[in-house]
Amino acid sequence: MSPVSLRAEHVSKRFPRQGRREPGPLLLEKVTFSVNQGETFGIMGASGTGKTTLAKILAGLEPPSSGAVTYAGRALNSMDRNTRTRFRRRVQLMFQNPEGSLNPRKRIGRSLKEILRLAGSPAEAHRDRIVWALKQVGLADEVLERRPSQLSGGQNQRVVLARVLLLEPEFLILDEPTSSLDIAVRAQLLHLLKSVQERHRIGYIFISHDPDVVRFMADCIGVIEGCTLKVWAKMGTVPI
Amino acid sequence: MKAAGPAFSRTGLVLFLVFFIAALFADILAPFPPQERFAPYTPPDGTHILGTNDLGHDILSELIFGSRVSLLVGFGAALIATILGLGIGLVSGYFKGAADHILMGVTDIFLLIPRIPLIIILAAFLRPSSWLIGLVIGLLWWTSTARIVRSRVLQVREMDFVLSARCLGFSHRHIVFSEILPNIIHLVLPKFMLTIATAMIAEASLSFLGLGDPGMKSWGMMLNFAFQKGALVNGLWWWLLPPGLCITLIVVAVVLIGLSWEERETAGIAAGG
Amino acid sequence: MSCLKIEELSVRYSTSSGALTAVDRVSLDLCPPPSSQALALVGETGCGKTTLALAVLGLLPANAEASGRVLYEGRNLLDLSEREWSRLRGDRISAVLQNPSLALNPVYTIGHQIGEVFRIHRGDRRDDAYQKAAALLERMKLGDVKRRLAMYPHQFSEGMNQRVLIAAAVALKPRILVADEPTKGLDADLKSAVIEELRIAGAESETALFLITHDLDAAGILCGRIAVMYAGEIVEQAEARAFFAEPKHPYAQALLDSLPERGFLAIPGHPPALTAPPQGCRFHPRCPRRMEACRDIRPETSTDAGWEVRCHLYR
Repeated sequence: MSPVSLRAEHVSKRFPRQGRREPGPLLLEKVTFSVNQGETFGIMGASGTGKTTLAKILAGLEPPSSGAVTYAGRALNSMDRNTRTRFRRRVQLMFQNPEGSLNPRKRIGRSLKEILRLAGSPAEAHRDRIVWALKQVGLADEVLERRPSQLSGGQNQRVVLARVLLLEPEFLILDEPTSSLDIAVRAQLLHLLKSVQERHRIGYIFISHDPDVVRFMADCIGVIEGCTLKVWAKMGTVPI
Repeated sequence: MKAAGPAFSRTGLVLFLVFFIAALFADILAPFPPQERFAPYTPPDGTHILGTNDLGHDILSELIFGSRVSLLVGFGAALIATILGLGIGLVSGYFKGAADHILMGVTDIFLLIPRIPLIIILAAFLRPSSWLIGLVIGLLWWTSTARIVRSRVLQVREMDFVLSARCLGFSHRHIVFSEILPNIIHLVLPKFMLTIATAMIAEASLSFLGLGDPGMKSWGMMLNFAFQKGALVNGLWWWLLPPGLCITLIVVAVVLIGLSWEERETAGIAAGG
Repeated sequence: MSCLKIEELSVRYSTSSGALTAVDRVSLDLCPPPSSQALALVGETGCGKTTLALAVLGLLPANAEASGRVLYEGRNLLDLSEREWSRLRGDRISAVLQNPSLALNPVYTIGHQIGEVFRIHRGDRRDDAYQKAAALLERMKLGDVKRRLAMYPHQFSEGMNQRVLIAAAVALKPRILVADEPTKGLDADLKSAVIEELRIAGAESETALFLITHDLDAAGILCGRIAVMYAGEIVEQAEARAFFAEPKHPYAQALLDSLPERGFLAIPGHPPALTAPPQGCRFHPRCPRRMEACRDIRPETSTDAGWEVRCHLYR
């Protein structure tokens, strides 16, 4: 099967309206780029430049003011129900704050099981799938009984990744996944992300303010300056 | 600040249990059936520990059976109010937009209504009954719960794990019940307890004003009859004090429990984020 | 004389899952003569460094038990009463802790809160305090000072709040400034600004900086000496430049290797739970150079011309 691609085509986003007549100012203007499965597109920019908003638009959590996000050749807002469901499964989001990403009141095992139930996987297979997912991210079975507050930031990020893997994603949008981790854990997570990408051919959209991290992960980089995204094909040429 | 939790709730819990057991086992605990007549206006003595009222009913028995009414109405009203408030707050906070505007508008209207006068008017026109009172209190007391729930839901829905759940494609129903609700229930439970307290006071006030259900004699009704039959003028303290004291004590019990839960939850949040 | 000397400090927590030794007989000297006045304590999350910071500031929670000595001007800080502490804190020993947004009161303006430092510790009147606060903000070049003073913490970005807190912390020219992860979660520009604030604080006001962080870059820029902490112990302590050139302890080496310049090389495994640290050397399960002795015998610290290492390789 040919690789699927996720595209942003002239995506613009305005701030909410201030007055009644004028539209709000632009946050993002005509952002255009594409990612294929198995590749990494890095997005950099200073804080407040709309990187997180872009991530949400790409994940379909927020509508763009104009332009479109295209998945497998079809635009998000004109998808039929089946494609939409497929999009929801195959395009996932990973956030910066490991503590916030998991429901603090649920045990890890339960958080993982829910996903399998959502995906319609038969109950007998649950245990095996969960064990498999934990193995992929290098976690021991004992975390299943813990709650997020009992795990470290690095471990929580791995759980989030395990959860995502249960849905067999084609694309993963990562919004500053390593920014709140310390250096040793960061290094581990980056390597894990790379190996998972290779094994499962996932396309990454990797957002970070840290140029070193982006350079390490990305094949292609976009920098948000002002409201626009400038795309650079090879990392070497990015003027940082 | 050290949580006053354990001490608070222990006292509250014990007090509450006393009344709860009294209500549950009224038939066994009451020395006499409340309708049985003896010599009226007898002061406390060996047989009638709290004496008898104007009709010769044993006051202690009346008191014990009265706890049933107060607890039932209190709980019932609080349950209705809390469920309503929870539902409205959830819908309002989660879906936002038009639903939010409409529901909050409705809440504002309800907040404007003077509640006790309205109940008085309703009770004056309709046949007085404890169920009605409970229902009406429930239908009027949901507003502050709704507001609290809505504001917490607005917070929780922006948290990463909820966004994550939306992204994963979970249904609204799942997100509301499985992700959001467990994270707001800690706010609702103390509020529920405090609403029980308010409902009990409201019921007692109404009964005292003579608008209660004479068939189901609550403590407020006991006070009402006591006043009407000149207990105050004649110094019949054994008729006046006990019901008043009971109302006070059960409200205090419920409030203590509610406050200690609230404090435990806030301490938990402060510690664990 | 040294400004702050920590001798054999241990901190134990009693938790529901047992006793936990967060800090295990740590000895540090903040300003050893003749040189630097800035020490960086480097380690990952969970190694006990924040507990150490709290111990030094007298802010340990009720379930913690500290033993050993934290000597400041001849007194053991662990023995001070809360009243004596409140005189020291802010004035002689100041701190900048994590989560700047939580450190500022949301209902008071920035001007009020900075001014408070002067009002409380120096007894200044409101106008004088205001002027001093204005002077501080002026130096930080944040634009219209008057407007900034009237703003509330939520109107400032996280990074700006952090800088404001640092400015307030050094306003009284304290003898010691303890900074716990001041650059955590900040992006590149803010990080530089915060590092710059700290550098100025050290240079201008004779303030000794005790920087606790996992950010090796900040440590390298700001501090003359580096101490590395792992699982509650100090495993290496040395002069900064020599340390970065060639660290001795395998953990320290691995930490430097996980920096981007060296390719983000990851250390396998993860730090031990402090309720049950490994026998022998605490790092041995993850150490690429472990030997037989490392499994059973806990290494002692050996010192060589001011360079301390706790490792069997260097006895």
